[in-house]
Amino acid sequence: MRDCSWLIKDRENFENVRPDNFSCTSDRTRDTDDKYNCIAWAVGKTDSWWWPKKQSGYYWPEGLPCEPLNRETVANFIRAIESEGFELCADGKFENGYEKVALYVNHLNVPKHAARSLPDGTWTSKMGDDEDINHATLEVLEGHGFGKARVFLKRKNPSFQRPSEQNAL
Amino acid sequence: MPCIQRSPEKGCKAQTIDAPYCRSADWWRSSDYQLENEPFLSRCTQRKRRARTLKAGKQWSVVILSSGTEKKTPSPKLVEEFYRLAQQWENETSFHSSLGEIFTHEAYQRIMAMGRDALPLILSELRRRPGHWFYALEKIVGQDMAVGSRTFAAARGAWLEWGYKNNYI
Repeated sequence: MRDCSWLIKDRENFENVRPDNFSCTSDRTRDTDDKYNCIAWAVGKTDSWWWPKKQSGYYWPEGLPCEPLNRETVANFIRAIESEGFELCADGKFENGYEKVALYVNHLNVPKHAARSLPDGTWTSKMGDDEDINHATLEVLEGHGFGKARVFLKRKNPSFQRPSEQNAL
Repeated sequence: MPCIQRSPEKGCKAQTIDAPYCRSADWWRSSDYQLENEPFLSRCTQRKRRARTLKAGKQWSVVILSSGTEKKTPSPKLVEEFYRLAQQWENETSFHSSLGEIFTHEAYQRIMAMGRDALPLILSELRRRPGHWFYALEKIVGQDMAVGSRTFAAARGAWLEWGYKNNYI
């Protein structure tokens, strides 16, 4: 697996990333045809690159509009993520029995990234064509590159129970 | 007055040729034989002629008719500029999922501005590695040659096939 230190060095885009708050969990997909991106990864897919662009080779759920580059809307992304069984929720706090998706938007409210919660309370992100990473909090990836995590959705997933909460049931 | 045709060569079917005038059996051996007369001969005969010409080491030229598009070799300066920009683009956008960030990057836009001269370089790069070149290709060519491709691999295959057919790679 490739060394992920590039993420720490890129202070311009990822000012909050430190060696102790993230880890690489799979190699980059830059050299393969099996491409998927953060949106696909967030909803549990690894067979396509999700983006609302009418362009061969990319995917966007049928019936949802394609949008001009850099003028994509949060509403369109919410509908796309909802098509996989998610529903809007208030925040990214861990909820027993639910997995969550956090949508990062820039200062113009244009979606730039999505992360998915893990049963241990941490988050997983696909970094474009680069690696999948595990990050301790949503704030780790906030900054100039992706903006801030502003929109949250959740769906039922019984496997999403922290060990301590599983014992309490 | 009926025209007497030269006997077909061994292995070739006799052709009914609407010849404008009668010729001797060896007319085609004469020095004033012109290639523009070739359409009067069957394709099989043409192939045999070319093979025999090459074997005999004759001094006249054998014209090979191309499909029409000559393979263009970009200038060394353009090649150097292309790879410099492609590297910059990849370094600065590979972590992005946003096609807006990927396609509107300054280096990518400058490659698109190279126009058709960049096609052999883009297609060679696409053959070497599955990068996000479909947008640039479509904008330069003016048509999506991968239309209907639902996966990245299918779109890549369609563009490479087009590149081969049109002598760009």
